[in-house]
Amino acid sequence: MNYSIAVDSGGTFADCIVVDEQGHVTAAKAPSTPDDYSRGVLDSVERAAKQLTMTLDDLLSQATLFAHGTTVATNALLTRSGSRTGLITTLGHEDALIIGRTVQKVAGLTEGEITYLARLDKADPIVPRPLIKGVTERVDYKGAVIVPLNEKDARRAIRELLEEGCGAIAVSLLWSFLYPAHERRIRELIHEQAPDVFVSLSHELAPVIKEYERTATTAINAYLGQVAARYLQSLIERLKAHGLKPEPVIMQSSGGVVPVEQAQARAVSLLSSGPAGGVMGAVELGKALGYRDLITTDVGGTSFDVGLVVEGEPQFSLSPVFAKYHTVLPSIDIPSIGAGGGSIAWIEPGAGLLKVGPRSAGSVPGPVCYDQGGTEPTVTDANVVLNRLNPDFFLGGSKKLHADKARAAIEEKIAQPLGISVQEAALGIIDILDAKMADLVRKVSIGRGYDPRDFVLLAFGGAGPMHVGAYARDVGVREIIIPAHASEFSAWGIVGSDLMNLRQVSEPMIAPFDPARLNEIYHGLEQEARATLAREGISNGNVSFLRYIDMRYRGQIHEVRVPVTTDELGEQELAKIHQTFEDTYNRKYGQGAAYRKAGIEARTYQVRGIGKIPKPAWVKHEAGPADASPALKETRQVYFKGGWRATPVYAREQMRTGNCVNGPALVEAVDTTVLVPPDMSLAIDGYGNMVMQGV
Amino acid sequence: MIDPITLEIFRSRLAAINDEAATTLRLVSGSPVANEAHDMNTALMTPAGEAFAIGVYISIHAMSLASTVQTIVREYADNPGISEGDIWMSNDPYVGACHQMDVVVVAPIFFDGELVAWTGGTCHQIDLGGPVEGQVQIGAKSIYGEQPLVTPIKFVEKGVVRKDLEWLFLRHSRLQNLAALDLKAMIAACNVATERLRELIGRYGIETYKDAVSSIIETTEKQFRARVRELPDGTFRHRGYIDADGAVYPVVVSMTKEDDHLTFDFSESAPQAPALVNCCRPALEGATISAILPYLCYDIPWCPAGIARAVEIVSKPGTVVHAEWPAGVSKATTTGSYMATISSSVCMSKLLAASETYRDHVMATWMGGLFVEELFGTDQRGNYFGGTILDAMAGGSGARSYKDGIDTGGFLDSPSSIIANIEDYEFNYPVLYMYRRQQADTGGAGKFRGGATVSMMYMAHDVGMIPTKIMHAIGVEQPGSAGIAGGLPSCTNQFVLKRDSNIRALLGRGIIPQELSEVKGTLEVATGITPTYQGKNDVYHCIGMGGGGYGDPLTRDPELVMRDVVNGLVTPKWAAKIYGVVVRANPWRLDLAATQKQREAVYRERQKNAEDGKSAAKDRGRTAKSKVSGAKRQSSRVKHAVAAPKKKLAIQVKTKQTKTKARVKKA
Repeated sequence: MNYSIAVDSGGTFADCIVVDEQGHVTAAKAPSTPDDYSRGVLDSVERAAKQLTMTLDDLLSQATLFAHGTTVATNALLTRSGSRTGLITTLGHEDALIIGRTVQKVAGLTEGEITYLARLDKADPIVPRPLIKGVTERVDYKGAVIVPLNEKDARRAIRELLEEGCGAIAVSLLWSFLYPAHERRIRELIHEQAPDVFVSLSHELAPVIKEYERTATTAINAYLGQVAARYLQSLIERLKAHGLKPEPVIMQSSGGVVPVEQAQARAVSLLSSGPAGGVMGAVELGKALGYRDLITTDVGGTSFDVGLVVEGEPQFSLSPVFAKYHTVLPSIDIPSIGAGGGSIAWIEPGAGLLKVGPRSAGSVPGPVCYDQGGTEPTVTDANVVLNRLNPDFFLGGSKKLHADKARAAIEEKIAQPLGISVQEAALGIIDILDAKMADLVRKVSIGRGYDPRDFVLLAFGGAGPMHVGAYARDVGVREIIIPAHASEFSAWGIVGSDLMNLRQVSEPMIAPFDPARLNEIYHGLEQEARATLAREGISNGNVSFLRYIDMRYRGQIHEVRVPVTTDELGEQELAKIHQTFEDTYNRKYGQGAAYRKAGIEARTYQVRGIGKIPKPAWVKHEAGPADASPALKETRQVYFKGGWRATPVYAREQMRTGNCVNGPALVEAVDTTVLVPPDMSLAIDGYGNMVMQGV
Repeated sequence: MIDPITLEIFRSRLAAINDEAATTLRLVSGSPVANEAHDMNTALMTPAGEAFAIGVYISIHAMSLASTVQTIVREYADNPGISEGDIWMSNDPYVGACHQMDVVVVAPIFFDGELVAWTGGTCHQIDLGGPVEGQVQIGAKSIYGEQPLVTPIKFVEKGVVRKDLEWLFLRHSRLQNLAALDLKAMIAACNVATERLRELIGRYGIETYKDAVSSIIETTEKQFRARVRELPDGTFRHRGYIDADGAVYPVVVSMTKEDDHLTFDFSESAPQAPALVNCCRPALEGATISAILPYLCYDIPWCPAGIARAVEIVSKPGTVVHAEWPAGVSKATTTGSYMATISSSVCMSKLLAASETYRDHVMATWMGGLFVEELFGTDQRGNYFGGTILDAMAGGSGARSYKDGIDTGGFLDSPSSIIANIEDYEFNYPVLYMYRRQQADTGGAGKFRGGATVSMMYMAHDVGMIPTKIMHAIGVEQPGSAGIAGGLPSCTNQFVLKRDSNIRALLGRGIIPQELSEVKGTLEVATGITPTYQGKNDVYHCIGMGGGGYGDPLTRDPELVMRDVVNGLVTPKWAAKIYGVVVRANPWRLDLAATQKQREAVYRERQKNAEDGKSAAKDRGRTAKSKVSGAKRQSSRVKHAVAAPKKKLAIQVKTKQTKTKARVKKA
């Protein structure tokens, strides 16, 4: 038997998904091991193997695919444990990374944090100022050399960085994407002096107009390169020692996987690979179910992440923020707020209002009901108090929850000060959290020009299924899907992802565009992508290309990414692209927002080469009876608005395709609990997903 | 009475609705003004025009919406009347707009035939007519010489734009398309807020909605008063200066905190100027609230209606911060109202500094003067262009009582502002930068240093010349960022040209000059408001304004001073002179023994100065003296500031050059 394996290694758990050649899925979880994440990865695979009554070595030796998403890069960036990194840039522009367009001090912050001006600060620099060296060279906006590279200058800068002990050097020069020769020469000069230093060049990594973001991307990449390489090498050794034969592939924040060698060279692309897995899972699931427009919502202990899939494609962020740095990395757009099971409820001093989050109790000390020292009531505590979470069946019963402690904390900290009952206080905590989550879903969809009512909403992550009924109804979506492996859904998405070789380059031009020049650019990018995929063993027949052009009105800020659907552009295709640009602009930014008279500018060209990895089709079960009573575990008193209600509780493991239950109801799975609100119903589909709808 | 849970849901939902309106405004507009400078805002208001939710953009704008609504309600309720589907606009600063460039659009919101709220958006424009391109109406003798005014007009009736009125407004602009697009953006923002608010009311009921809004205002008032009550009673003063056109106008504020109430008294401020630099009373009110919000309301909702109930603003008609018709105000937001915010913020800092509990919320002045540069001409592709270079928005923030200010941290009234990438400027405008960097010795010295500011140098590129270059700023003659608790002020705003330079020869020899002194040419020092041009071989250099310092610089940890030297934020010379810290080069290291001696010497010199009867003010003035412009102390001229009659531009610029050159020579 052949197996495809994916492991998504996050901050708390490593999630493993194994798919056999018939399409049967096995899911497992193991705690993360931050001292060496590769151990947790193997633990999760071993647990999956156990479920299949195999040994770890049996399973790994029969694997034809091992795909992996890792938090190692994110962790190293947040804890500032990357390499000692130097930066070489154009003389006079050394401070760009530190000035950070002055917005760095608020990048990625919530409004509440932004308005607390006395506590704002810029990023703790990943490259200290003395390790940023300017070299004499200058290229202009046409790519013309104004001042040639002064090699003496460059050699001196390199020598100084090496003397300072830099193990990695980033090189980011003004306009390098139009004239890369200076950056290339600097790399040669670095390797003359130090062949082993890790080098990142901005025109290779992020050849995009925007020097701050390009420089930040390049610097972060240099900073993380050696950390990522060390981790991946150690992981591969362990995997091979246990029998793995194929080279592992690594998930990128762009939503595709790449071979290890590339992942090491582009460590910055690992930064949101886990969440990207979730959105790619939605794309995959949408394909199976016939949905092209989906909103993904991932609720964990501390954060609520929202992604969009429009016409079958994930939406990309043009400038994702990592640790206060804006970057230009192709990355799936997944906005996030601090809201989840661990969010802490508190009373606002002076106002006497109930607030929830953004602070979280995390997994340590965790909610009060964990009885690990947490004293501040959380959303999870509120769910326990209302009997929505079963204290004896949390994580399948492996973790005992203390309902009395949760109740006492909410009573003391919330109910008494507000003069309300403990149930009302708990319900209030949940209502406020649900409203916040609805606000973010609305912001992500409506804020990007989409009506959430046209979308199907996916809920995953451990805490998503408990809250999705409320926030989905609030935004007006018609159908909710809780995928079969909701708690390991990112891993499920990773196992389904294809190889992606993404190439892009800026060359700003003003309409009318020269189709010959555009064809030249696209053919160049495609050739590179095709050659790379071929080296990775993908046959020509399994390669397909997606092409995009980023355009904007002159003098305006918003860029729109328009698909280029032909491989040979002529006047006619260009006219069509113009039209699509204007239509998209109007849809995204409001009817009449198009500013035609300003003229149009094309800026960046992108090619995504997709190398198809053959996968088994998902197993589909025939629908059985609607009656779910064989799965009924008990009837429990659960608190809803208006009072306690007798609520049937079903065991997910006993439910079969076609089973249907009406709210109010609870469905308990090993790793999650679904709340079916009183005016909704839930059904199990042929793939084991739970589908919830209003009645 | 509404329960605390529903109230919290309302509070965040109303903020989300207002935020969605602001996002809509930015998206439809698409302009760098709205999206990078964030020179815009939106608000939700009561039927009477009290703002209860405002966006996190420039907060003074939100207040201008409220003033405009109040005028409409007062003056136009009967004729032409306020009806469902109407949208109003105005750019009249005597009504509410901060200055003529800030167009205000407001709409009443009805539910079941009842006026239940107002919404509105405002956004700064690049050109709305007037004799001079851009905002600064140089040469104006009164408001009649500035951009045309539109008093509140109902330009959308029953959801339909009145074409005649729209055109009446757009007709004046040199950039009609941009103005039209922004108008559309503000209408869209109003429509979004109206739709969402009606949905919300539909869901919870009108009574709950009304309850929620009045509770939000009352709760905010209660929270704000509680905060104020915790602070010590007293009167705190600051005197800021608007230096423009050869005259200096003090903005004097005396802020009295008594029990749970604040009174800001501006009545000792200078008499008004004929035009440009004044602001009207509505802008003064907004300016004052803008200082209160970030200092005292960091954890209290930004609900001005609640806060205003505990704040009194006293001003005297006919002063620079309370202009009387027909005084002009076209540059108000970077002069009169800007300095009103800055001066009020210094009072806030002093108040917080007097409280042990709140001392860690002190921020010395953030960038006490914004430098703006407007370019018009033909770009490198032969097309007409008009645009603003706003690099100086990356000024320094004020030092805190426990740590330094933020280097190139931006400005107080708009924390999310973004400066453009150089590559974008160079693609769009015919310029080539030699550098853009954090400038040493620009942050106000102190135990904790004010944030350093940005400096830059560029030349014209691929064009014969840039024919119109208008530079304007306050804080050129004196530093606008005051220090606190013994901290020193920042540098001044500085901008100069080296005419007919050898820049091209330098570049040809492979040299990219990193100091103005490396470039040969005729130095021309610009002041306050300078309309000029930039020729093919002219090099332009500017330094923005840093943040104020906190505490005596002689008490700064020498290690921190050395770190600043290593990071290029303080020069060794400055370290010795101001901080009394001796840092040796190659490699950088502290000389603690020499530092001890140097600190004693600086201290003795101070004592000597004090004995000589020299005022502390002079000391500060000298600290701020800049290398290039050699700022002259203004105190003697300030006392009886009278706006000098306007001379012919060309002559004026020349006179000033000569003067400055003389000064430079002497130095």
